[in-house]
Amino acid sequence: MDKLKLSWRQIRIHWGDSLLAVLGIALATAILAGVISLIGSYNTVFDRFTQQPQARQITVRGVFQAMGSGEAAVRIDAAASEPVRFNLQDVPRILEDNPDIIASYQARYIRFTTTAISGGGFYFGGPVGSASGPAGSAGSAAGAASGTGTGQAAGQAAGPGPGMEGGFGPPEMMGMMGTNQDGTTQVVDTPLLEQVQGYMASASFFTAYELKAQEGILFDDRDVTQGNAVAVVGSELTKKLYSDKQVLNKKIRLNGRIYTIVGVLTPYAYSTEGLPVSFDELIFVPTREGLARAGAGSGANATFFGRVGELSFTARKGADLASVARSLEASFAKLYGENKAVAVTQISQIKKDLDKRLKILSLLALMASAVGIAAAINIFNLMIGRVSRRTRSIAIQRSLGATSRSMLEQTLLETLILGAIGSLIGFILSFPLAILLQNILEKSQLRGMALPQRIDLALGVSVMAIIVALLFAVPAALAAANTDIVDALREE
Amino acid sequence: MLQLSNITKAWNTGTGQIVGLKDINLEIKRGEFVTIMGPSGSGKSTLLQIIGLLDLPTAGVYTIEGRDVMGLRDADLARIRNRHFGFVFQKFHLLPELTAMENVMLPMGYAGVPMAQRKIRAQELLERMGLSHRLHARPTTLSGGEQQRVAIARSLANDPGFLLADEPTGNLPSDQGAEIMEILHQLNKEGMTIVMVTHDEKLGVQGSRTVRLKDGIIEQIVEREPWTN
Repeated sequence: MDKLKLSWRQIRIHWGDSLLAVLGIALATAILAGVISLIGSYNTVFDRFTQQPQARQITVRGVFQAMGSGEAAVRIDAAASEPVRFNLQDVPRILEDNPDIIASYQARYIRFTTTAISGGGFYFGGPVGSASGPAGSAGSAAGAASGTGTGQAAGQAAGPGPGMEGGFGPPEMMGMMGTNQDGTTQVVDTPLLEQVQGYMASASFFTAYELKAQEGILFDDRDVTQGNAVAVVGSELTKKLYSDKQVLNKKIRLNGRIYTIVGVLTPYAYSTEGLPVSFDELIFVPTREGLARAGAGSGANATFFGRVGELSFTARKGADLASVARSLEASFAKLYGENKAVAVTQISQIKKDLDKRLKILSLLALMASAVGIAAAINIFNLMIGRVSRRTRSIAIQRSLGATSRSMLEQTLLETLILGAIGSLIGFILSFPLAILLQNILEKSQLRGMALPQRIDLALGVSVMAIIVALLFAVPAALAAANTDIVDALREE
Repeated sequence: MLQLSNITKAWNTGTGQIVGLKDINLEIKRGEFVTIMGPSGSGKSTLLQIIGLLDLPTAGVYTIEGRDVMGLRDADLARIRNRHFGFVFQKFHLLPELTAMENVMLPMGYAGVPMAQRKIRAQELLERMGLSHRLHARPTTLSGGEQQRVAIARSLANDPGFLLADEPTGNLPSDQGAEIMEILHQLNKEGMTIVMVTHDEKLGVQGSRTVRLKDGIIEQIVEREPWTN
């Protein structure tokens, strides 16, 4: 107690250099703890990512399409004047060659507008992400067309590939008139959102990402080949689309085309790392570019048609992704010639992205360590200075019965207080700093990623800071312990 | 009883050896008021420091209450200093960062006295020294006499058998010095053994025994009747 009191008084009396010491420790701890915990967070996220379906996706691109990416650029055949496109009919052969692949799919991320389009019909937005078409003119019919039809129940949706001729919505429902693909007119339920995001995907997309339906069904290969206008909605999006939350069989206009909602997804069981948005927030409609077959047994009779510039594959759990990617490249080389396709694993993309961040963070950690060493040297000088200024006080205490060990302890206690205050401030500051750093480092792939706060690591660094401070105070503490009482009392 | 036999203190320097004390034989009994006198450099402070275990002799035997203290570990020496000796220095040597109360409580802390008891005892001692109004004053705000009285209170904290005073009035005006001497005599009357170093003849003769040192050797020991003012 006396030691604590004496130490605290010493700190208060020499508050100027005490403050400097505390700030030094706080600064070094804050940066180092922030950086280390962020590195830990990224690694945790990456470890988690490797366990989820996203990590097992491999994209094969025709080299012309891959021009933008550095690794593909070197493979570009200078003589190639046209982009390499893959024939979907080749997919079964590729799957046969690669037993570690459990699904092949196509998916295109799209922002859909849900508002009506004059004249009805189907219209697809141009480039990915663009909202399409003049909005809202057909909405003039809104409210006028509460149909009197029977309103097909979910049972209808449970059938294989519901067509477009679904019944009208319940009479009490507000709706708008829409024109179907075959020219028939039907009621379109008015969603609460004007824009939704989603995928145009082949049916095996669901297999690839282990997506299941909690209500209704998922669309299948036949829906794709037959061009059925059916949609599957993420669990969160259903709540946002219609206030009554009953979405099965509702008609929704997406980029001008009217779709029937046939299923609602079970909430995604994995975290969203590597995804632009959680699947729970998205809507899924069949791709119109063709079909890539899912694993064995799915869509055995499906017809394959069309050519695409990019194909996605899903490796089975536990497969060596790099070798699967090489094997895929070899299969494509057999079919299209050498160096015409590049297989990129999603995990390698994420890893590359992560490594960039880790490099920057490691550099910052190095800088923080330099600050830490400076702070430690400051502690060393400070405590040596204090002990040498305080030799008489130490001698007095020794004459009153203090042991040399207790003088050593008192010096270390004083350092401990300085270190603990500095390290506590640093610990607290490390969290906003980590968030700030993350925001600076975030780019497309990892954006929106919820990083786990690695309090354990920040705490570890803070404790380390105290230990380092104590170690650097040991020479001063030893000097205090070895103070010669007589000499010190004699000093003026 | 303190018994010093053939106590020698020497320091090695680069050029040779300096002898501070040579073959000192001295016995100090309980209840005595011993004054140690001698010219500057005669070794009187060194002798007091050795008596108080602030310093160790290079040769000889020193026993405290029959116990040989030569070769004791640092912690044991510290404990003996703490329990058996009270120190009063010329420059008071109070800890400036602590209040009068806290200074007096300090030795009790090293002795492991519970906080509540320390406070009561420190207050008692300071009141006895006429400082009941300055309990929480910092040393820098006290006069020299007051500081020395706090130092005496501190020296009595663990109720030691021996009070060792090194020129206790040396830094004080004569009236305050007289007050301090009065306190020492009073304590001696109550049974406290006092060993006081002084170069002041007027003070030296106030002891019941005076040890005169010259060049590190006991030149003369004079015994006299207890001092009466």
